[in-house]
Amino acid sequence: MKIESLLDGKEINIIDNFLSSNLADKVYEQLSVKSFPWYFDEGTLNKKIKQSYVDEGIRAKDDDRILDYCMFNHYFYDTSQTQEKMSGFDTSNHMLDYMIKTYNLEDVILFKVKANLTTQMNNATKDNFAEPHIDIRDSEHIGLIYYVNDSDGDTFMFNNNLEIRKRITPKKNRAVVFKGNILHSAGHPLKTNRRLVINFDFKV
Amino acid sequence: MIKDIYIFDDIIDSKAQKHIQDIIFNQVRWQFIPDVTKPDNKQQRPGFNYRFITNAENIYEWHTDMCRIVDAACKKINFQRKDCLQGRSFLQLPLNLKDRSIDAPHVDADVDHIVVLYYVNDSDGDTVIYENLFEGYDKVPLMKDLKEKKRVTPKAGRVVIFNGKHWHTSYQPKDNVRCVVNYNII
Repeated sequence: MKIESLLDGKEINIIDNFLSSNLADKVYEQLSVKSFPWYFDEGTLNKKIKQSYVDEGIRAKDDDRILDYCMFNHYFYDTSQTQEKMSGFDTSNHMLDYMIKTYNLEDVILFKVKANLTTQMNNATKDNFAEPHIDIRDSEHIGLIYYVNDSDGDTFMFNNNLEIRKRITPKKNRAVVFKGNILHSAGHPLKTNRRLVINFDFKV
Repeated sequence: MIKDIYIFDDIIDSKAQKHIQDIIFNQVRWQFIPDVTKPDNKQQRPGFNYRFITNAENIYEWHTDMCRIVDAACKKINFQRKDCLQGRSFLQLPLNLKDRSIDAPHVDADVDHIVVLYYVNDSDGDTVIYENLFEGYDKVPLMKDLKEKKRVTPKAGRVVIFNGKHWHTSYQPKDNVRCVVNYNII
């Protein structure tokens, strides 16, 4: 089956128990060890891309729901990054192997796989979110967000007017699969000290 | 061992400050730590750290770049550095804490040393240095018994240098990322 089959005919599909519990534990452990490296990122979008979203009317210049803030990334596979910044292939390969086998996927082609670590942010509420965005704007793709730990800080899915279509609460071993052209964003954790996800983008 | 607390702004020139910022914010591979003071601290205020040198001998990437700060600091106070016990960077974020009390006072090492604390960026979350001196881990002073000697606000390019025997700590930042480079030298 093609990667689109993970959508199960929907535009946004939530799959609990996405991995085996053993593999979910392993992924959690690998991302939680002290030595796991994270790169600082000052925001979801750089200034130029953020401005393009305003210029194209995708988002209003002032939208007090948006509270963008720094985050931390780990690059498993991302052609926009240099080779030396990518590591931890075992983790992403185990996940991909499991997905291909369990969901009978074929011809899986990756754009990128990266982990995001979001921390708390002072003054954020459960209704604030970082910059809404589309991961890859010029290629048809399928996005998949895998929740590594039980956390808060919902994922927000929007329509083109930035009205909220769906909120997904992070839960260990949950995945949300979505059409890559859907604007989405992450909320800030308020109760837990970190929100860990792995984000896959697949070519269609 | 030095007795005063020294504060110098622009300890390295602006080009060097930007170089340090580029390393810290674009290149360093951070490690998540559940508490910035010590792992078993009850406060559990998470942050990130990176080690440039450990145990005075294990040298990691960018130590040489950071030594520029340390050497400039030593020169300012006319101190002849023999060794670096450890060199680390800490990055803290404005957490939505209900309890905004100061972080747990601590000393970085239990042997004689000098602390060279460099602020990578403009931020909040003052450093507080107490008059009280370390006399052993079995004689940890109570919070009420600590007497504040100096308070330093983070500012890019600023360095504070003090005898490592002074108990010290910091406030959590409320508005900005707070990032320091901390070397313990002898």
